[in-house]
Amino acid sequence: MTQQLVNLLTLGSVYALFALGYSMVYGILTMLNFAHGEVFMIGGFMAYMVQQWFLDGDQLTAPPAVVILCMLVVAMAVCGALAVAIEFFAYRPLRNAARLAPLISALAMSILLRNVVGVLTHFRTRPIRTDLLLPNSMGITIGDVTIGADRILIIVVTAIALIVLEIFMSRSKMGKAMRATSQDREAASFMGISVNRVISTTFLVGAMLAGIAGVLTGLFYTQVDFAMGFALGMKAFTAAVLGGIGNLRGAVLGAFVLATAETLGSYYISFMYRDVIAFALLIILLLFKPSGLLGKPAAVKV
Amino acid sequence: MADSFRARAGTVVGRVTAPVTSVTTRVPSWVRVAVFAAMVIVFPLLVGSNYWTRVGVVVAIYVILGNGLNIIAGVTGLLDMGFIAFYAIGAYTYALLNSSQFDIHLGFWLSLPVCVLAAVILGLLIGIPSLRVRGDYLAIVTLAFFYIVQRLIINVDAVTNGPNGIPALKRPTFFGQIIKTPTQYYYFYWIFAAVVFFIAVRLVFSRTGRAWAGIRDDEITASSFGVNLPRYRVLSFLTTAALVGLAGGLLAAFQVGVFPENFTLDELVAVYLIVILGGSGNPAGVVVGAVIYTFLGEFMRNFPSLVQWRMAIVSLILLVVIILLPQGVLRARPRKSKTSVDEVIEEGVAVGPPSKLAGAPTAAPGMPVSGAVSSNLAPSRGGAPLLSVKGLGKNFGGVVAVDNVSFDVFEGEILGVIGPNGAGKTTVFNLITGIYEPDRGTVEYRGEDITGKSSDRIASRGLARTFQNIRVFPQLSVLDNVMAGAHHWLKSGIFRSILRTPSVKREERTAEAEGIRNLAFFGTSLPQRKDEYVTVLNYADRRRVEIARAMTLRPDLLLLDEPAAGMNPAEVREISDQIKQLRDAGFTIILVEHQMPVVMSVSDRIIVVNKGQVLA
Repeated sequence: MTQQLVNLLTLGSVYALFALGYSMVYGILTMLNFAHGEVFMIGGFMAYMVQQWFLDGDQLTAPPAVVILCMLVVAMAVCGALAVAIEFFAYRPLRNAARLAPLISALAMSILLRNVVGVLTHFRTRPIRTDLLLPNSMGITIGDVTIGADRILIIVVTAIALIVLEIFMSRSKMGKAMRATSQDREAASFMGISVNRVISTTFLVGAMLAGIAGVLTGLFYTQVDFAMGFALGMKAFTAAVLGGIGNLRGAVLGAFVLATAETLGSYYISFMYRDVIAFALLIILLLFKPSGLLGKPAAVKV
Repeated sequence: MADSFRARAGTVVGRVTAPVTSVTTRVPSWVRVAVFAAMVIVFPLLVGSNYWTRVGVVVAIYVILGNGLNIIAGVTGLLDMGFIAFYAIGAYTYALLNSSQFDIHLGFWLSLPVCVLAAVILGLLIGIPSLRVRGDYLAIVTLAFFYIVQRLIINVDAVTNGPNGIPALKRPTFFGQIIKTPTQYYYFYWIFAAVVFFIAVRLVFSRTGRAWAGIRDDEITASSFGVNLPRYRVLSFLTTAALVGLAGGLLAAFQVGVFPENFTLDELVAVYLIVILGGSGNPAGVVVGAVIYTFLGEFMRNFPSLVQWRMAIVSLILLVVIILLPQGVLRARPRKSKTSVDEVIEEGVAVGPPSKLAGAPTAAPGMPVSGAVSSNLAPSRGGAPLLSVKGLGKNFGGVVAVDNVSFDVFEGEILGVIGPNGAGKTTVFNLITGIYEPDRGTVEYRGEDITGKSSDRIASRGLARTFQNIRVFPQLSVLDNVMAGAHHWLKSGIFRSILRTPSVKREERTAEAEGIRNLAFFGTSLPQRKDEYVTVLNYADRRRVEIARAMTLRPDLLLLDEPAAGMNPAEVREISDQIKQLRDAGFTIILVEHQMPVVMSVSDRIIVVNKGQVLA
């Protein structure tokens, strides 16, 4: 039972970090950012890259804490910069175009990144040495259950990230500007908010969270590959929709609800069909409650 | 350069469209089709190699696949990511019916309709529920559906043979002859491609095609002119599923096998590239896209080091095209209508609602109807009201936008509605026409309760409206915009439009004539521009097109929302006179207007709305 609960929290944490990016972008641009999954995947590869810097044969040349911190910082920086660039080159020119165009652009960007990384890594998976970075000895034993260090790390890092995000959104000037812009872009620009900067920042913050999620996922599954963004991305998007897309607290809630459904589903039904269950849930959800748990129905403007 | 292309894709469509309006100076389309057909026919003779002939077969399959996708994505403007699933369903249906998998050997001609049917049935199951939701979610629902189908193909070994696929299928036959050589396949499949192309062209330029384009360009307006949105979305989705299912069956028969790697995310992106690179919305563009894409792939094979970069290159091209050349290499052009203006004017230009038109006097040829049409149609007050609004109310959040609005409109009168900005005048219109559902109160039209009915059903009853912030369909011609109003009284469906039966031709001719006649109501210059994109018109002309579109709905009641906004004083006087002429022709009119002179000079009766309530 404790083990299932920890599994659920771990899975939910990754989904939450990942889903926030979808939700934030959708909240401001009402656009499905297909490339977000690839940003996440590149976060995972940053973990691999940093690991190779510090790996000497079977030994780490620095304390694990330093390596992991390095991974997170590099992933956040690279993913953030990448997402800002994607928005600038692929989405901004199409901001006022017919609604099909930005979606196609995002889809093309997603396939492009995935294939570029695929070619560079020879379409093979790469190992993450969680056994060296977070050895079992660092786990905590509660009663007769041992909680792995990777799970603890995921839950703790996610908690910190979510608290920082909450403070940023509610206290900082930029956070307020982001919330204002997501409600009414035009009105926000009349109030002297630089909408372009807000949108760039949204992509930056969402991608930094996805970068963290990528590193954590790599540590958890002990490997990364070029295709990991797609299936997980769909699930993260499910979580975002479940919570009411555009609503950040909703995205976190949705992530944990989805994680619960999946943990129970793979326990009681079949592990092989775990993804199918998640996607079937997504379809049913979009059909019957498209506004999600905490979302508001969209208003029609005439 | 890039800027102007961006504008082309966006709301400001006018700039780049303007130079291409001289359609008549181009080579006629049948010549271009004939030249292309000749090239297709001689291609295998010219290359003389089995390899290149097989490449030609692949192009034919892509033409069918691309034209299928073009219906939902290019013409209807919906991002369908599930079409590859229907491609797979078509292919696997063919495979299961023609292999030793279940030891069924049905043969090509019996299996092919089953492939299409299987795709359509699954399309119904996924399409009906998913096309009710907001447009953006369609992409993700269909993507999830695609993913599930992909997973099932790989995991349900017993049926699909999993990753190995199903080999050794039955080959097609044609009049007893087994199709075997690449050259046989080539001509056989290009016949299919030609038929699909033909179907696509007829559909795009039909009543159904106009409804689809309306959904793409402006759903709310389409709905206000009688298009049942869910119905036409599903129709489009199913047409795509059927054509794509056919392509799947053909693919299986060509490969004599099906394999999971035929149906990947990469393939999905490739077909989108075909449609967008060629020119989305334009069947001929899709053919060009299929040719370019296939030969580009073949070209890359010459550079072995490039092969692994293939999908990266494909997606990069798609990205560049969508940003810099969103209309593709062969962009869609406005339809060239068959009815000539002179012909229509010869017949006379009487306008009016159908109930009054019988016996209405006909104006002199070449002249718009004069104001002195009739005195026998004077407001007949005292009878039952045409439209009766009682206690109408609507809240947005906590704000009461409209509260307890009641008024009657009698046949043959012009009711002016005035009030300051934000008083709720437009909201009242939106409540009457079903765009918003009222929270309180009732709307009765000819004694029938139409409260809360959908926009398209209300429009079909004979209520037509114009919009305060002009809403024309930017990617349709002037005449097609006006003909969009005819949607509910035209009858032709998909099949009759494909066959273009005499009744369909007659119907389209009537609608074109009526559209031209209604344009001619505003003078002789507007009908002359009937085959240009509506976006090249100036502001005042677009307003006139809106009114003409509303007249083409054959309404009894016209709701005009600030028709004189943004017009200069001369135009304002002109439109005021024309509104009176419309009343004299038999239309009942509700007029929302800011400009007091217009309201005062035109209206038979005036109500004042302020803060959501009727004052006087």
